[in-house]
Amino acid sequence: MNARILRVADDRFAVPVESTARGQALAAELAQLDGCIDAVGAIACVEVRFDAAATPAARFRASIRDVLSGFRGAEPGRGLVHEIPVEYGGAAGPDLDGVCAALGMTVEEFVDRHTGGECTVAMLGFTPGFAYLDGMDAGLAVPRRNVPRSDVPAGSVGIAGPRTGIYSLQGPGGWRIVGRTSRQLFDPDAPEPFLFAPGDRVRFVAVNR
Amino acid sequence: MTLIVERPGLQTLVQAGPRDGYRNRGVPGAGAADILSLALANRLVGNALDAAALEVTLSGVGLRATAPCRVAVTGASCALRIDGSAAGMHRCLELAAGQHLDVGAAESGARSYLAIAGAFRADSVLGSASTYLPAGLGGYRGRSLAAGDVLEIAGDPQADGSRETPGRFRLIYTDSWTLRALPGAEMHLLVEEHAERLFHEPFSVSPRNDRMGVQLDTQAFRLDSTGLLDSRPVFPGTVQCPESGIPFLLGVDAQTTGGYPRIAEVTRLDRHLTGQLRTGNRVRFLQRSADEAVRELHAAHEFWSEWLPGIDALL
Repeated sequence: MNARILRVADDRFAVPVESTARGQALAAELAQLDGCIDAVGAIACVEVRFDAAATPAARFRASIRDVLSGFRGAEPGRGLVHEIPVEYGGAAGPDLDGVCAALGMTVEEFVDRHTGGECTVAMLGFTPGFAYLDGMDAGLAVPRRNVPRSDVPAGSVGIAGPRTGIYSLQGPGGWRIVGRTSRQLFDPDAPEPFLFAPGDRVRFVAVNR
Repeated sequence: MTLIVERPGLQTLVQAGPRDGYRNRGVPGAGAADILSLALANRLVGNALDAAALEVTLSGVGLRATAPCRVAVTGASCALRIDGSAAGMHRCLELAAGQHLDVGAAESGARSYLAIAGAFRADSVLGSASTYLPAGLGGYRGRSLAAGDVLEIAGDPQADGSRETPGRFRLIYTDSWTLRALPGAEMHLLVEEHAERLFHEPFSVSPRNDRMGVQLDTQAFRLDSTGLLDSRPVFPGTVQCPESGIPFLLGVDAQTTGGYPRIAEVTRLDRHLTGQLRTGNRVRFLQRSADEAVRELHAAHEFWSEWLPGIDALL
């Protein structure tokens, strides 16, 4: 793997990757490097923050290069499949009617298609445990809201472009909210605080239709 | 039982060092918004530099001691009173049982830090005692302090004598700040004449400022961006510019990923200053290369280490 390693801050490097899954696997390996503070995989890149006070940048860049040269790609995930109950529309999904109008389909068709396939957890990010899911029916893609909401409830299921996602916490957000699940994605008191891991699969189940 | 909260103020949080290593699962670092002032406070009472202390925001806090203790206040300048008598910042203060300590409103800067000998007891979550409010993690039950809360000491106070911070290690805040920064990875999305403004014009700190980020008001930047960037990693110190053209400087509670162009990156050394910005302050960015920034970081560590041994692990 001969990727470019870009210095994006005095204490950060970025490595472009061709898939989110590869990025997640690469981030996990880079997190083990001496001097690594945080390795974060996103949609098309991994960024690594290193301790620039203790680790010379040139040495850290060489360490990244070593990892890349031995990197074989994403391991199969733990393979968990989650059934996520979702209440679609109404107060739980305030954007559902608008999304259906924009897509020119009925609510029933939308729900059938959103629950019809299996999605994959591409990554966690934004806030603790927020899940970005790949594999949504491409016909359901809609852009983010122009003006983000200041207060999206925890468990809200949203759409932003080709991706669907689940808000782990109450807070601000710009995704179009079509429903809400009662499942808790992040529980700091649990032995495993995060419900999802990258590579897990998700099936939505409508509970009110 | 050691201190009882009588006047909680606008937002008083238990904060320590950052919760590093979990950004890949969406967990921000949190921790003291101004880590240097936290370290200075802890130094005066003989604690580890990143021990849990109180981060007091803008309006101060009022506490009553139920047992003798030693405390120190650093950071945003404010008036201190013990049972109504003036006391000084940047020094170790003895409180007797029953005495009231009032930390006044911040006069310059936004956040004062109150450390106690032995450190505050706090909930440690994912390796840090720091409060992350959006998820209710860490600190004192994951929330801001409220009237009647009882704060306890975590460990045995070190038998350090009373001290004060030498003058050359006291920071003086103004309402005008210069933050050293690198051009961001998506700075090229700013139209050319606006890219030049980034490192030349002053910004004004908007009322929209908190631990997550600070909006920097300016004449709106124009971007060659459709608003459809893939989510990228963002960190404290990242300056994002949404389509509105009004940039945001991200703070210690920053989200871990974001889809807006990253137009600048404040250097590691100057990130702690973000925690002292308040509404109406002026901010300029001073351009640095990565290598210049690291040289300045080493020089600063050399300076601060004389008073704060081990600060290079935090600042």
